[in-house]
Amino acid sequence: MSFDKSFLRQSELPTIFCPGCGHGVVTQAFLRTVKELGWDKDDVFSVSGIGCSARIPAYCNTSSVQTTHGRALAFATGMKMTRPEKHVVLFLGDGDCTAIGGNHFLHACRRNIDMTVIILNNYIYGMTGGQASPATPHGAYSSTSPYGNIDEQIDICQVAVAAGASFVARSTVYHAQQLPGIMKKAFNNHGLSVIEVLGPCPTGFGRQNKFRDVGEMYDFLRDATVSTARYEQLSPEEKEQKIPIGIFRDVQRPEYIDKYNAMAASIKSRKEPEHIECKSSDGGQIGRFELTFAGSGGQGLVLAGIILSETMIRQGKFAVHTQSYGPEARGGSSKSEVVMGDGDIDYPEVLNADLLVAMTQASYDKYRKDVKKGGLIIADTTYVTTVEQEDVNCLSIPISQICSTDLGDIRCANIMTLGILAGKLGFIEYDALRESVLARLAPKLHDLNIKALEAGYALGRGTVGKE
Amino acid sequence: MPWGAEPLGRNERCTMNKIQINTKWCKKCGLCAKYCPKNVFDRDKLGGPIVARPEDCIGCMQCESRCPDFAIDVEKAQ
Amino acid sequence: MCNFPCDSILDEVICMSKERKICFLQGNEACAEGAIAAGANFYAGYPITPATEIAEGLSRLMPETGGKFIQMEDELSCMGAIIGASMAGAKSMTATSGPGFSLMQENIGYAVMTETPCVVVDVQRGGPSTGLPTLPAQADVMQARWGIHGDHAIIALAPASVAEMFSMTIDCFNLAEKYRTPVIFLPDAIIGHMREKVELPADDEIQLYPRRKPSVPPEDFKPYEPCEDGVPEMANMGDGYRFYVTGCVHDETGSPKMMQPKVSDALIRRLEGKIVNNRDDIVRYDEKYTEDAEVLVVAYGSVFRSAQSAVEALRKDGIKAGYFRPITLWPSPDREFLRAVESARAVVVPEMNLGQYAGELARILGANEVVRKLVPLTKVNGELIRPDEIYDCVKNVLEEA
Repeated sequence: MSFDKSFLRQSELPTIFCPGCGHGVVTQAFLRTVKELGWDKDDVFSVSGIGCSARIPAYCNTSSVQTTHGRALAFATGMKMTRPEKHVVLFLGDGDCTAIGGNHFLHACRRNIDMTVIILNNYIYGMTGGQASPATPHGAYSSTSPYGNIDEQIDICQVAVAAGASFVARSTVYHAQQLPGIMKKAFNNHGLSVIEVLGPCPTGFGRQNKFRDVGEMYDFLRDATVSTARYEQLSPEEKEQKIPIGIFRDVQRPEYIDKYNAMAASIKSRKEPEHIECKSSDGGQIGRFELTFAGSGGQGLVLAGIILSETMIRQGKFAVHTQSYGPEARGGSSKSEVVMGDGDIDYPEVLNADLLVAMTQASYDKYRKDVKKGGLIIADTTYVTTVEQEDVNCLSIPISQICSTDLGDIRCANIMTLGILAGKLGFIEYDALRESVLARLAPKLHDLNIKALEAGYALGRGTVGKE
Repeated sequence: MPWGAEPLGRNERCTMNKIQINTKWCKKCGLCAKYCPKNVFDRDKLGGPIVARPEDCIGCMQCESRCPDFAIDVEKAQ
Repeated sequence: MCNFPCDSILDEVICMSKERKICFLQGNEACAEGAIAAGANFYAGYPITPATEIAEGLSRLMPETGGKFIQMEDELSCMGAIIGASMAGAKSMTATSGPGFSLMQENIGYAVMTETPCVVVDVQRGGPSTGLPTLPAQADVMQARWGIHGDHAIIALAPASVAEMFSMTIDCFNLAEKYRTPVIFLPDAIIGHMREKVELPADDEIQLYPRRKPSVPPEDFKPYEPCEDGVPEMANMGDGYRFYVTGCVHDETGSPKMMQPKVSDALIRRLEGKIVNNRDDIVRYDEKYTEDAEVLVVAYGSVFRSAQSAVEALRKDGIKAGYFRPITLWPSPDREFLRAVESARAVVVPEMNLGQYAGELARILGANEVVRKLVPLTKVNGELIRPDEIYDCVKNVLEEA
């Protein structure tokens, strides 16, 4: 059947391709297939990277996008996820796909996202004048391998199969009339389809490798290729000389967007951010109060800082929480700071702490100097064994030990500490604190931690302070 | 459509396939001539195809499919 | 909130609640919520400290609100994916930090060239290279301006609070749509990780700038034909408008025209002009005490908070200091700064970098032949500049004068 030229963007023709280049053959086969499948031109996204092959979408009367070198699959992934009902087809050169784009090729195959990648493999970087690509055969000449390519040729189809593409095939532009059939199968595959199409680059590859004209390159494609079935029957030496063409893989595999949709469908509702009911401030001023929790990772100091901050907000005050830590997930050092105030807080970090909670010896040693004169240090003497007196008040309580022995769980030490703070500092309201603890902890932890809070509160109120 | 169609085949009673070459798009690569199984084409001085023996055309469509420039249109006889 | 004129509220579902809410949120969390409030429905992300919480938040929020989330294999592909999504009709965003921001530059340039709206968040950390992954810096300011190769203008905003992480994210999306450009959002690690009280608006309080859809049928449509403000209407892929998009220099139909100097000149100047000529609409800033300030403190991001505190303390002690806060770092609020600096003898510029914005201020002063003593206060040790450091610097500057 004659080729329907309404599928071409004729304002861009004639093509920029050299005489005999196979890219136009692939373009024609593609557009024939689009018509045969009855696809609407508005439902086809043609996407490319950089190179000669990248110009193909310009000639296709579809939504056509030429992107950046090697990244077409990333753009196409965004397009397909946004418009999954559209048909997304990519045209990539061998260098674009396997060199700079190799990572994206790997992951697109792994994801098995529903699109077709047509790789126009002419063994070279053609647009830039004939440099070696990962597809350039060993020993071949190029402008960056003037003494013969020392590198080995990548087998794109094998990589695609290994990476998880559900349809993988190879053909050549000599086999022009077989291309629409392969493309149809690829397009009908609901997953990542790869079609590697071997073609001649007479200007870039041919001239440097003793092909007298493009006709000789086509003869090569005709003579060097055998069907996959025939290929299996060859001896190892014969296999060295031949290129298998045909379908390497055609399977059903769960497709990426289907899986995403299934996951999204299983979600019952949105978890909205929690609203905090604030009472209007009672008029009592706290000024700017700076508090540091310091200890090691895993002691729950960040959570303590958050709960304390939310408590102040419930009371109609303002609070800013910051934290710092080393790279360790557990152990190491952890610092959690809260700056509280009556109005918006400008400088968000502790300048001169009014109060330091030290849960390890190391943190006590490091931060005690930063506490202002007349301030307070609450030291967990389970870990802080050496306490030095200066112009600072000190409250020494074996918090972690009490939690461990009396409550049976050392991990509620941070909550007990909050109780102590509420007991000691009059401006922290116990009820607001209790509400914040309940809001921030999972229900199964409520019992234990409320006990810890109450015990801490009693300690804070009752203890005069061991000097 | 910017087709400079030049039907070079005689087509009196539509018993012959009609082969048209778009000379504006044709780049004279010669692949149509090279692979025509029935030697329908000659090549001119610049290498461009001449439909010399359209009566021998069997409508295999290899020339149209292999033309990299969409420059050949083969209309099969009725 | 978004205080620029816009004709209509987007009539898509905005996934906010019907009433205001008081929340205690982390900066990054607020940014994610802001994206949802802006109607974002596509996010591609890659983990990097200190921005990871944005990806984590949206990995949950996107499927919960009917959007799409994907963790891509690297930052280059994140940027590519959000551009592709935007072209196909999505409102898209990604977030990263310095090293990832470097990787994204080529594709950000592609978004500039193809005029694709999207939001790129860079939660700045100490650099160069791996630098200080968990500690703040403001060292990507010039990279936001010039990270892309080639001539271009860019829009970049710097938030200074958790509330602004929410509201300015929406603003970024609106600017992106209005000017068909990528917009860079530049918090630092402090703003990203701090937690503060934030009041989330009710859904009918949020104003969104809708995408400028084509006003003519496909046969009359030219994808890069500008409206009066220099911005072309945008047809989403697959909606009946078929044209060719390329990163090459192109004419108004999208056709690559690399050998036509007039086309090249017109395109590059129009792309820059889109932002430069509309700067009055785009520029955002804040100032206080500038009418009679003898020393002007110019600060942005988390350092602004220190500057605020320092200036109030200076005023209390009878020193005539004032502050000027660029909110849009780019385009720089040059005219507004020149006006604010009129009464001042000196300008103090505290930054967590080696004076990147001080350089821009020097350029503005020099280009307008305004002579002022410019004093950069630089800090590159991963620590926030303290109010007392700014206070002392201002006092020294006044004493030396």
